Amino acid sequence: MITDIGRSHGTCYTFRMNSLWGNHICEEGRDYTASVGCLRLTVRRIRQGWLVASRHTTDSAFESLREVPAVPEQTEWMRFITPEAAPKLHLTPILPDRSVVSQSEAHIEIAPKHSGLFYVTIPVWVQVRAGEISPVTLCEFPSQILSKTWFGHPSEEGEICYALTTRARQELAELTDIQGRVICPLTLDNMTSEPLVFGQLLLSVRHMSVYQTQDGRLWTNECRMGFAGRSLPASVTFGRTVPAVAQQARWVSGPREAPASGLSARVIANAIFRQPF
Amino acid sequence: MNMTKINAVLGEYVLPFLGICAWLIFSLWFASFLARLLYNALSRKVGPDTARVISKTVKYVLVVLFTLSLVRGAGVDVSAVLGAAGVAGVAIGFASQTSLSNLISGLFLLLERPFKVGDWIEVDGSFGFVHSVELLSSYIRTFDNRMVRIPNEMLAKSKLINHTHYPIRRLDLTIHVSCREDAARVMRLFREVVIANPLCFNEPEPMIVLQGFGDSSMEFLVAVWTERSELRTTRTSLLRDIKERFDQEGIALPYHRIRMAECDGMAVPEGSGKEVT
Repeated sequence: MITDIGRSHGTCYTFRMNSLWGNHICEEGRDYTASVGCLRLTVRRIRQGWLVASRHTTDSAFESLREVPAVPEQTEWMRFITPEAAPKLHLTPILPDRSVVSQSEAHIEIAPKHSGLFYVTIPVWVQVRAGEISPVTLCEFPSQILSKTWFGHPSEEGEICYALTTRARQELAELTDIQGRVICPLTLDNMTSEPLVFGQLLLSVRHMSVYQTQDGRLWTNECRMGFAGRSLPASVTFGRTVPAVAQQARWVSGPREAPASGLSARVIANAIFRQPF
Repeated sequence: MNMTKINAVLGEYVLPFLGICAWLIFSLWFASFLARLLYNALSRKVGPDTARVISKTVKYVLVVLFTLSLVRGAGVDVSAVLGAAGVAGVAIGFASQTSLSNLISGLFLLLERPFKVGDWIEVDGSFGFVHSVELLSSYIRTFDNRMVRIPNEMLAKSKLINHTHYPIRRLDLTIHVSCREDAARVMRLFREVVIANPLCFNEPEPMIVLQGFGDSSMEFLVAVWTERSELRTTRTSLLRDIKERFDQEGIALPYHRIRMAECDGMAVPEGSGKEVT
């Protein structure tokens, strides 16, 4: 198996952390496996396409795609017939297919008229694509199966989301053990004269792109949320390019959905902030 | 028969008859065509049910108008026909009160919109997915693939339960556990199982209640929220998880056991007739 190195603006990056993300050349009839978080991914190239299998375990690991002599007999393969028999397989980190409700592990308050920058990490999804000239998407798998949750009132407007507990770290140095996770730089602006409690927060990750820095870390666009009061509109703004803290990052995958009106939206605060009463 | 007579018959009967037929065929085709166009244009905006009723109404009105124009073209006084139709209408109205009631109920259903095509509803003991809403009746497809026709009047008058109105549903499980077990421990285990199951929502919070005592068991209510489309999957998954966990923890689920004792050569139940473990 040969692994391509990432390219961006003519510059070649050699990822120090691993070489999972990117293109892989797989020989026909051989089995390859990779681990991302709790996900164990197995692929085999066949004459007319690909076989892909996945399972989730309780332990977390991060291993690049490597050839294995054999796979268990009970492996449940999904078969994909692809238009071209190219040996190239692309593994791309993407964001979850639903919004994420992030709940802070500890009690966090933002002082009146003050802002806070938090790094929220989100488990990555793995998109499997195959082909050389026009790659086709075979499937997507979450690296961690997250519980679902409802953001809103049960009988009124709301959204089914994934539930996530975050440590809401504020220092880059604290971001350790984040393989298989995407870092979302989130700025919360408290524009009120009352303290803002970081209770639960709706992150529309479908509108975010994924970038990767040379050290292998994955990043989303910057996200800024302004809180002006419970019943007043809150502003949500997504950065257009790489986050300021990861200037050298290269673009890896785009948003699943373009934001409704450009790159910012104004919504009622209750629609994105949920505070404990 | 000479040619003059043939020409006279043709001119007097055959040609007008053919003309009437052609006019009727054209009017029916035109009304159907216009109704189809209207349905296609409206179905996305107002929904397929309303679009169907509107298009059918337009079709019937057009057919009536074309018929009236035909009658007028034949030299018949339309006002006399309309007068006669009015009298006939009253007579027909008395004779077809049920149909009119169904028709009006159908219109109210379309305005009120208590359900839409594809919803899972329950009316008068019939369960199923709404297949279509017509002018006089609605059709539901039962889970075992039978079609049930329900007059619209009955839908308007009866208690109707729409099981899929809201995107999320609460799943209530009543579980009996032996009185010998520690209630607090059982409740803790229920909570752990629910939290570990990714199909159960974190919010709204699951509810675990000790509801009361049965003959020889404690009755617990485990109420969890889940996606409406995953109600059955969640039920199976949760019951399986609870059973597995109880087996691991050595918690017995009660079941009735009858102990038989022989008395004068006849087998009779001993004691109260049942023993619960």
